[in-house]
Amino acid sequence: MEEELRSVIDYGLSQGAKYVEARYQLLTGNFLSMKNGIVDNVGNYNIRGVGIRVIFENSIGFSSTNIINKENLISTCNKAIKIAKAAKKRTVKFDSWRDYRDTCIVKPKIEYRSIEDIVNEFKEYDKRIVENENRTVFRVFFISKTEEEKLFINSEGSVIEQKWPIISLFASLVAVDHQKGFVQRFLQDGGKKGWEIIHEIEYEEKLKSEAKMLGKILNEAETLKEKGEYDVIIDGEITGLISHESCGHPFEADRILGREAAQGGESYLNLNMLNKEKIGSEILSIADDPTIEKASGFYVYDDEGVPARKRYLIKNGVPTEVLLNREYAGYLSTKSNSAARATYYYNEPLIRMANTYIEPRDFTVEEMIEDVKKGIYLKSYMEWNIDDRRWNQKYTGLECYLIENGKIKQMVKNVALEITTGHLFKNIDAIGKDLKFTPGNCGKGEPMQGIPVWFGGPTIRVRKVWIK
Amino acid sequence: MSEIDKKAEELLLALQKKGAEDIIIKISKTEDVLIRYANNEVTIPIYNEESHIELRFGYRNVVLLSSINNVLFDAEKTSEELIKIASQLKEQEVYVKIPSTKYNYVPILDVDEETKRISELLPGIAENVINESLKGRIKKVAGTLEGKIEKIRVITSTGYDLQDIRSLIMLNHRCFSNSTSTGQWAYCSRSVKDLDYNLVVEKAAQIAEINVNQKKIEPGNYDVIFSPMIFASLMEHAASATSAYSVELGLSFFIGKLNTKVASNKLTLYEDPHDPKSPAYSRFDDECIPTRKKEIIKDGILVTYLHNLRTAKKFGTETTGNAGIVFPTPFNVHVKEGDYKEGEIFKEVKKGLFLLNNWYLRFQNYVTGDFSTILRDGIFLIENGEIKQALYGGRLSENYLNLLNSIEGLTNIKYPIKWWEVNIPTYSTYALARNLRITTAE
Repeated sequence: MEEELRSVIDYGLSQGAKYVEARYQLLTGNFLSMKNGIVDNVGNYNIRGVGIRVIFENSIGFSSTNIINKENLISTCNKAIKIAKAAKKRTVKFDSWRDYRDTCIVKPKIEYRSIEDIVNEFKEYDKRIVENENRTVFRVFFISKTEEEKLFINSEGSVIEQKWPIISLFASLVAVDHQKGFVQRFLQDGGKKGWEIIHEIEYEEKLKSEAKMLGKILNEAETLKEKGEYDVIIDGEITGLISHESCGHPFEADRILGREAAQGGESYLNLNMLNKEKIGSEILSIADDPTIEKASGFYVYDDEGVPARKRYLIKNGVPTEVLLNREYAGYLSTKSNSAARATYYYNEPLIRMANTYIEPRDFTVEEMIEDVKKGIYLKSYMEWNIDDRRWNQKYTGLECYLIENGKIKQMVKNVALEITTGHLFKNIDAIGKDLKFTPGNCGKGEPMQGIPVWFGGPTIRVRKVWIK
Repeated sequence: MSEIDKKAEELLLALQKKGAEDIIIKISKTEDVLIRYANNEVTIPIYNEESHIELRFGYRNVVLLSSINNVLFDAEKTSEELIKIASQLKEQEVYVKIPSTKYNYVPILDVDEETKRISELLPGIAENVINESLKGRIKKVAGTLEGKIEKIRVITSTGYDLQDIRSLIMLNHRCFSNSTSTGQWAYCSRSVKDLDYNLVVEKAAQIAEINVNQKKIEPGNYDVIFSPMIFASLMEHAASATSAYSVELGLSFFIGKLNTKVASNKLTLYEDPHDPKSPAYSRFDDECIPTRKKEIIKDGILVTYLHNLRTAKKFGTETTGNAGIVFPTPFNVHVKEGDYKEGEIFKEVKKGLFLLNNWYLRFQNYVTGDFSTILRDGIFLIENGEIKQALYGGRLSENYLNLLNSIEGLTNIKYPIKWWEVNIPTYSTYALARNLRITTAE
């Protein structure tokens, strides 16, 4: 494949392109879905192609194909040049990097099982759910295994090969009580790893415990009697999502500088705020780190061939760094921090998060609760959304408790945390040591590129929050 | 015959030899041109060509799916791998044979000469859209202009060999009169010549120009005028929730609601895959069943779920011709027009809101239909039928069935909408709804 891609680079340069890159991608895998213990859909996929990006007369163009032979690759390169010429664009100048030649391979500890074994394993999980809560009437699993291979070559001399397995597990559980109503739970797990994930996350125990929790919510949760101001303790499942939505997205340079304005929107952050303006409490630090091995957002080089590194987005309440690709690094006269990723070969690389998380501190959950007179403890969520400048957000709790005088009391339902990023970040007064990660699929771009990430966070305490 | 057509035919034969039956192979060849622009200039032009196979077959009453875009695949090896997977499976809830009936289909609509030239024409149109927008008080624009031509062939083990040509032109345009004063509009058509980009520019710019001096919205219950942008998003979600697949997975607020009143009698939603101007124009579904125009919600009554052969068998009914390879889905969504003229409907609101657009619609619970969505690109206070004040910071936090029942009036012109938040082409009017809950962040 290297030879075919090399021919694209040589051809593009011979036509006068200033920069040419070719990204080959092969994705192969199986998937299985089950509904109430019965196989629903089973299949496999085989996706293979090459994306070519050129800078020609200071304009950028992108084209892709899945017919991989020298003749067609050259024709595809021509199309990228032709469309770059046709669509006038501001001058694009990438930052400068040396050439890298590397091969990075992640191997699974435990190979993916046969479909038959997985069906049998998940039938048992389905039984365990019903045994623990027989009102769980809708139970859906989606399991997929993918092998991804990527080869990146550019006109600066880089040749980078990366390979990894990707496991994705999704469960949707709906419990119904004819008197008390419905309760629904979605669970997502996964990473760039093999079947060992099932053991690492203790999946069977997790499903049993979630089923029990749905029953508990149906039986015990009551509507919060008094709306008003509470201190709120928020579990890592939600703080991870907060780190992604309220810090990761608004710290993407393309969003800050308006490139995503028609779709994903812009940002509350502007570049003048970096290293100057305090936007959060002194104890709040948020990082995005693609080097966390086997995480969903793990990589060694990004899709522009830049070596991956950890980025500190907020340090002690102050924004310190934004996520960059080569184009925006060039525009800002700095260096890319390796945030360019494309979901498929036919997508342009965009600035993306990898594994974003609030850095843990030293509190235990018990210590946080002890110091709350009137509070709410949000352990999981059902629904969330945030505006397109990443300021006005809402998280509706699933497993939630009232706290009174330092003690957990009644389970409460439909608690909505509707809060601005500024209020949330500035009123954090305790951060736990219990950092945990949850996988997710982050959406951005046109066409929409869903890309695997991890959201991370410890339990945090936020003072004076208006609860609805 | 192209390479991928030959491969698909080889695969069909190889699977048949190994005992597979009810084989459907869908071959798609797509040419896609996408011009992205922001800050008043093109950010990237993209040209993609793609050939792709989607496959479904039965083996000992087990259904297997496959998606292949590797045009160099080995048919023999691929069929072996697929049969190996299928042979490990013992049961599926419902198995259904695919038909061999000779149906009559609506004719193939060829793509017109202008649309065939998307790679030449779209960069210039994008430039016009940008320049036209900047003539007034608009300072900045961003958007996407896309053209796609898809040639489809479906072959089956029961003898079908069908062809169709589908095309899409889509413009999504956002105007800024200052950093937070925005207006947005979108449009979709089947042909370049039907793309009314002047309308899109005018609508987006008009809103951005009045969306200034915003005040924070007061939470509470309001009467609301929805623009076609947000109403398209809301109606697309409603139509998608009628997929029998969503119903059987517990991901629909229409579970147990068939033939019951789910909306105000002012609301009729229908699907029209035979509309020659729609990007959804389709002769047949992915199971070779002829598509047809159909009402989904009629005068507020849910009259059908959308079915493929399998869900129809499970629900004891006939397929509605909405099959994808995996699950049924609407081809497009039409809101049946009401009687109001656009100027008149605002007069029905003494004190309320005009909502232009939304994004990030999420459900607390799909079964109950509790949801919220962020309002964007224009929230306006209406007093005595007039727009009085631009607002910011609102969220529509409602229950879907309540929302559908609150609709009191619709206007008499539809707009074709498709963009990030509206995946299925949706033809929507302005709508009046009463007493909806708006919340805000503290």
